[in-house]
Amino acid sequence: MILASLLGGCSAVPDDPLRVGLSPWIGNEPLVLAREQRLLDPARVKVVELSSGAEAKRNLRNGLVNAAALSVGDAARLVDSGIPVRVVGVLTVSAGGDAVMARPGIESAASLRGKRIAVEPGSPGARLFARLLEASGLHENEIDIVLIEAGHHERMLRGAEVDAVATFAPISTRLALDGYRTLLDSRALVEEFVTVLVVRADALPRQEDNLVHLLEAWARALLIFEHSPELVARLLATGAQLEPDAYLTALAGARRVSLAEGVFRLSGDPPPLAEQAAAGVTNRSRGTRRDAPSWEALFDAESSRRALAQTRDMR
Amino acid sequence: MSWHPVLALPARILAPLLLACFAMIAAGTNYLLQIESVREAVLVSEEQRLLERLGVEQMRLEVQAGLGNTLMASRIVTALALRTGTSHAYLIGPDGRIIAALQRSDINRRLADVLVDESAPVREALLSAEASPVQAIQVHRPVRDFALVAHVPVGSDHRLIVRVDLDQPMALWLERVRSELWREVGIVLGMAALLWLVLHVAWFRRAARLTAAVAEIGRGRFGTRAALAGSDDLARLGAAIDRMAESLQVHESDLERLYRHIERSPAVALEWRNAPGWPVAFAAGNLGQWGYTREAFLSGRLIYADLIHPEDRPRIEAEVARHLAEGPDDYRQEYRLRTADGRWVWLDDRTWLTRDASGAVTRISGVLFDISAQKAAREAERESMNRLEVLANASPVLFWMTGLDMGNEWCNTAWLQYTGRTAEQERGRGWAEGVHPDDRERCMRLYGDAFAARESFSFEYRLRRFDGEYGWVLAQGMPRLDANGRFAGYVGSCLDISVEKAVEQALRESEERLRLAMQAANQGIYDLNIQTGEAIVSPEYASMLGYEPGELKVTVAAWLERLHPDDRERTHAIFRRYVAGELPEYRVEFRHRVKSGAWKWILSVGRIIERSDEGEPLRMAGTHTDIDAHKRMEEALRASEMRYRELFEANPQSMWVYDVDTLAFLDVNEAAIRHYGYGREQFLTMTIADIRPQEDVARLLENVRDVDCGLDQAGLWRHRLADGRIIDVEITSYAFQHEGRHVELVLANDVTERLAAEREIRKLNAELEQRVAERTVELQAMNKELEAFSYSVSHDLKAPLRGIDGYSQILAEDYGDRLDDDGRELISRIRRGVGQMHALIEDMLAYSRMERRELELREIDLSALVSTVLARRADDFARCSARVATDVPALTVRADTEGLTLVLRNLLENALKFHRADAVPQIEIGAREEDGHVLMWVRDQGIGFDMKYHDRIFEMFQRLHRAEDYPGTGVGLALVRKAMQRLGGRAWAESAPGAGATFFLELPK
Repeated sequence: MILASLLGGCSAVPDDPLRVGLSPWIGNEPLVLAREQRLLDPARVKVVELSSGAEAKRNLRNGLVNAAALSVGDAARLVDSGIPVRVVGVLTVSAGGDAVMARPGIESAASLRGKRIAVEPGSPGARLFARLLEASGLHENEIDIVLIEAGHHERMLRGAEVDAVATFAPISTRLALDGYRTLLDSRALVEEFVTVLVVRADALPRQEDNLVHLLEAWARALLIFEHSPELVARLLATGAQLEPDAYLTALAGARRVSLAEGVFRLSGDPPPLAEQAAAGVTNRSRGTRRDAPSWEALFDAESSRRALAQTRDMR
Repeated sequence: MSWHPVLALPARILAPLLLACFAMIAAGTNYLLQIESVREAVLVSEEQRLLERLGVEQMRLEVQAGLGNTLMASRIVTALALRTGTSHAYLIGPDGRIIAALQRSDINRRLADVLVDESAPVREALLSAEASPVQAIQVHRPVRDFALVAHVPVGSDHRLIVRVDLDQPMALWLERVRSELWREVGIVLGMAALLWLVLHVAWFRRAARLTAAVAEIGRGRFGTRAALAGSDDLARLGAAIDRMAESLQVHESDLERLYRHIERSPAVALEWRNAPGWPVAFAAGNLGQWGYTREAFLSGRLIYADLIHPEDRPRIEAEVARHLAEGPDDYRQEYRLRTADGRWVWLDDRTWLTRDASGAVTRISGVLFDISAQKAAREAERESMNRLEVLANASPVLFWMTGLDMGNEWCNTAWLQYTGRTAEQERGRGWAEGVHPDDRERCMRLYGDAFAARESFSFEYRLRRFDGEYGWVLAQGMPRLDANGRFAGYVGSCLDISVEKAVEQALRESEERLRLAMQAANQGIYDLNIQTGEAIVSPEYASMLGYEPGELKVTVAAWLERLHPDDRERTHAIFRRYVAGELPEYRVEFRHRVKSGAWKWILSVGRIIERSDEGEPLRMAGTHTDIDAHKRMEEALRASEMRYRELFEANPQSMWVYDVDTLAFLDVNEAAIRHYGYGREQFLTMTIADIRPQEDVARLLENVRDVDCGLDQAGLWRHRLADGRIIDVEITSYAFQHEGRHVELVLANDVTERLAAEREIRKLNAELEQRVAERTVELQAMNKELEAFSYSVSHDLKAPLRGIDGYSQILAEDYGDRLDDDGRELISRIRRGVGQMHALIEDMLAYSRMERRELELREIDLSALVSTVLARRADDFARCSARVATDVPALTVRADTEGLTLVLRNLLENALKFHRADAVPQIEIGAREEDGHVLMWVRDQGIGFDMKYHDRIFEMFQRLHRAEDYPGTGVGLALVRKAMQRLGGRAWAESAPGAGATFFLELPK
C-alpha cells in the first residue's frame, strides 16, 4: 500500500506548463490564435495575455511566466540586468504597428513641444518616440514625458491626460479609427523593431519540448493567418476591441516571422539580431558604449530549429 | 501469509527489517492520515489565496472599469491565467455578456453558452456562481467539482467569475506529502541500514560468533572460546559461556584423566540394568584384567550373573534382591568371579542403586576391586595371628592389643593371670580398672598423647594383681597397622618391675638422704677420672659455685683455671703430690671463682677410690665444702679485733678491761697509763680496787657483785693516781664474756674539774635566785607605787579638770550673754579641750588598768555578752538610727568579762563614729567557732581606711582623721589590742576606703 502510494504518486503532479506572457501587440496574435484553436496543449503551454510589454517583462523577471514575447532590446536589457534569458524564437517584425499617436490638433512632432506624451519605458514605442525627437529636433526636456505602461496610454490620450502616446497596434489602430494622428510609425524604421520569444534560461532545459510545441503552434497559426485571415479576424478581433476589418488592418502593422527566418535570425556568430541586441543595451545606457553581452548565450535557435524540423512537412 | 520464512531470518537481518517495516508502516499510516487532511488543507489554502488575489484584482478591475479602460480590465482578467490552476475567468457585464475571458472566443457570449462544452460539474459550479447574488467575494466549493469557484462583484453591475482547478495544488500537496513519505522512508531505510550495520558490528556479528562458539562447544570442542570484547549483555553471556567451556574443558580433562586412571586402576566400573542376569549397560576397559572385553558384556554375549561362583551366587542374589527392595542403596559384597581363563578371583563389589521418582531402581552401578591378593593376605595374616597368639599366650610377659577406640581388644593369658580377670572384663576400657587410682590419670594421659601422635610409648604404673595388691609394671606400646597399612591401634607389653621399683626406691631414698646430708653440710661431691681429668660433680658442687646443675663442666684444667692466682700453684702442688702418693691425704683450701666472677673459699677433701692393677690411681672422689663464710668471718673478726684494738688504744679516755671475778686488770690503754701514771705492766698486776681510796673499796665490791653483761652507767667514783691524788671519775662500763671469762670494759672519764665547776655554778645560781627574788619584791612594790601614782595622778588631774570644766560652764551660763561671740567661742573651746583631756585621762587610765589588772577568766556566754553590750548602747544606736545585726551563736569562751566588754564597746563606738555621712550606720556583729578558737567580728559600712595604716591604728594616740572631724583620743584600738593580748587572743581589721571596716577578734576557746 505504501509502495503503491509512493509509486502511484510518481507522475501525479502535472508538469508545470510553459507560461508565455504576451503584451497586446498585434504581432502576438498568432499565439493567441494557437491557444484559441487548441493548437497548443493547455497542459503544456499556457498563453497569458497581459496588459503591456512591461507587465510581460515584469512577470518574466518574477518568474510568473517562463517566456514572453518581447523586443530584442528587452531581452538584451534583461540579460544586462542580470536576468538570464534566452531568445529562442523570432516572432514578428514591426511594420507600422508601432506608432506615435497624437490627439487631433497636434499635426507634427514639433507640435509636441511643451506637450505631454505617454511612453512605456523600454518599449519599441519609446525608441520610436526617441527617433521622433531626433527627427524633429526636439529635446526631451521640451516635452513632458509621462512614463507609463502601454495599457494606460489609450485611456490617457482619450481622456486628454496626455497629448500623445507612443503605442502599438491594436491600440494605435483604435486610436487611428477615432481620428488620432500618427506622428510616426515603425514603417519609418524598417527591421528595427523585432519581437522575439524570450524564455528564462532556468526554464529552458525542462521546457525545451514545450517551447518546441509553442513554436510549432506558432508556425501552424501562421498558416491560418496566411490562409484564413478573415477567420482569424472573426475569432480574435473582438478581443482586440476592433471590428474584423480594422483588425485585419492592424494585423498589417506586423510582419509575422516564419520559423525558418527565425532560425536564420538567431543563428550565426554573431547572429543578425546581435546588432539590435547591442543597440538595446546601448540605448538603455543612454549613449554609453558598453561591452555587448555574449550573444551565443542570448540567442538559442535550437528550439526553433527543432520546431522547424517537425513542421517541415506541415505545408 | 506464512511468517515462518520471515521469522527464520537471522536476527541481524530480521531486526532491522522489522524496524524498517514498522517505520515504513508508521510513515505510510502517517501519509494516509495526512492524505485525508490534505484535501481540506488544499481547499482552505487555495481558498485563502484565491480570496486574497481576487481581492486585489477586484480593486484593480474596479479602478480600470471606473476609468473606462476596457483594455486594462480585460487584461486583468486574462492575467488571471498566470495563477496556477485558473481554468476559467469571466468578467460579465450588466447585460450578462462576457466582457473579458481567458479565451477570446468567449467574449460577448453568455456564460451558459460558453460552458456548453464543459463538464457538468464545471458547468454547474460556474453557472451556480453566476446565479448567486453577491455583495462580496464569495468562494464556493462545488460539490461535484474539486475546484474553487469565486464570484467577485466588480463595481455595482459587473461580476467576475473565476474557477480555479485544485488538481494542480492538490497534486502538489500530494507530491509534497509523497516527498515527505519518500524522505521518511529513505531516512528510515537509511537508519535501518545504519542500525543493521551497528547491530551487525556491535551485536549480531558478535552474536554469530557466540553462536558458533556455543555450537563448537556443543560438539564437544571445549577449547573453543567466544572471546567477545565489551561489557554488554552479549559480552557477559560470552564470558559466561567461555567460563562454562573452560570448566567443561577442565572437567573433560579430568574425566579423561580419571578414565585413564580408572583404566589403569584395578577398580573396574560397571553398570547393570535392573533385569534378570544383570545385563551390563556399561563396562570400563580394564575389564580386560580378567580376560574379558567390554563388548562381550555390552553385547549380551556374557551374562554377568553366570560368572559368579556357584557358592556365592545365591547369597549375592539374595542380598541384591533385598537391597533393591528395601535398601540401603549403597552396599558392598564380596564374591568370586570367574575369569576368562577359568580362574576364580575375589571381588569387592561396591554397588549403589539409582532410583527414579517412583522408587524403582533404574540403574545399578558398581566398582569392582580384585581382592584376591588381599584375601590371601588376610588369610595368611589370620594364620600368622593365630600363631602369634599362641606364642603370646605362652609368654610370661603381659601382652595386649588395643583398637582404634584405645580399648583393649586382646590380652594374653599372662595378663589375665596377673590381673586375675577375664578377657571380657579387660576388653574395651576394662583394663583401666586395674590401674592404680593414683596412676590412672597419668597413664591415660600418656597413652592418649601417644595414641594421638601415633607414637610408641613407655611408662610405668601400678597394676592391680590377682591378690588385690598393686605391682609396678613397665608398659610399652607401639602403633600397629592393619593389612592395609592403616593405623589400627596399639600392641604392647607390660613387664612386672615391682622388684626393680623397690630397689630403685631404696636407692632413691639413700641417695636423697646423702644429698640432704651433703646439702646440709654445704658440700658438693666430685668423682674425678684421674686419667682423663674429667670429673662428675653433684648438683651441690655446681650450685655452690653459682652454676646450674649440669651447667658446670669440671675437668682438672678447668678447675685449676678457676682457682685464685694466689692459690693456684699451691693447690695444684698439693693435688699433684697427693696423687703421686707424697701426701697421706688430700685436703686443701683455696679460693674458687664462682659464676659471677667473685671468689669463694672452698675446702677440698678427697681420696683415691680406684686404682689400676698396677696401682695407678684411676678415680678420685671427694667433697668440696663452702668455707667462704667461715673464712670471711675469720677475716671479719680479725679486722674487728684490729679496729677495736685501735679504738681502745687510741681513745683519749682512760679505758681498761678487768676480770669481774678477780678484779684484775686484763688490759689498759695508753690514756689510762698516761692519766693515772701507772705503767702497763704495773696495771696488769693490779686490780681495780688498787686504784680506789680504801674507803670506797667496799662500795666497789658491792657494785661489782651486781655487774651483769651489758652497758652500765657505773656512776661517779674516786680513783687514786699514781702520785696519790684523788680524782673524781665518771665510770661507764660494758660487761661481756670473753674467752670464757666475765670481763668488763671500763671507760673512766675524769670529771674532777667539771664537778668543781658545777658546784661553783650551783653556788652562783643560788645567789642569782636570791637576787631575783629580792628584785621581784622590789618590783612588786614599785608597781604598787606606780598604780597608786597613776590613780592619784589621774584623780588629781581630773580634779582640776573638773574645776576647769565647771567654771567654764558657769562662765558660759552666767556670763555668756555678756561676752561677745569671740568670748563665747573661747569658752566653748576651753570646755571642748577639757572634755578631750578628760577623755584622754580616762582612756589612759583604762589602758593602764588593762595592762595591770588581774584578769578574771571565766566561761562567758558570748551571745549574752553581746546582747548586754548592745543594750547599753541602745540610745546611741537610736540617736544615729543605726541598724545593728547580730549573728552570734550560742558560744562560750573563756575570757575576762570586763576586758571583752571593753573591746566590744570600743569597736561599736568606732563603728558608730566612722559611719558615712550619706548613709545610715549599719553594724553587724558576728561570731563563729573555728579551729579551736572563737572568731568574732564587728563590721560597719562606714568610711573605712586604707589597709596600709592597719598597724598604726592599733598604736597609742594614732589617729587617721582630725579630732574636729571624728572626735577621739586615739587610745581606743590600742586598748582593744592590749585587752585581746591579755585575753590570750588577738585583734586585726580588714577595710578599704569608703567600703567600711571589719574588726576581727580571735579568742582562745
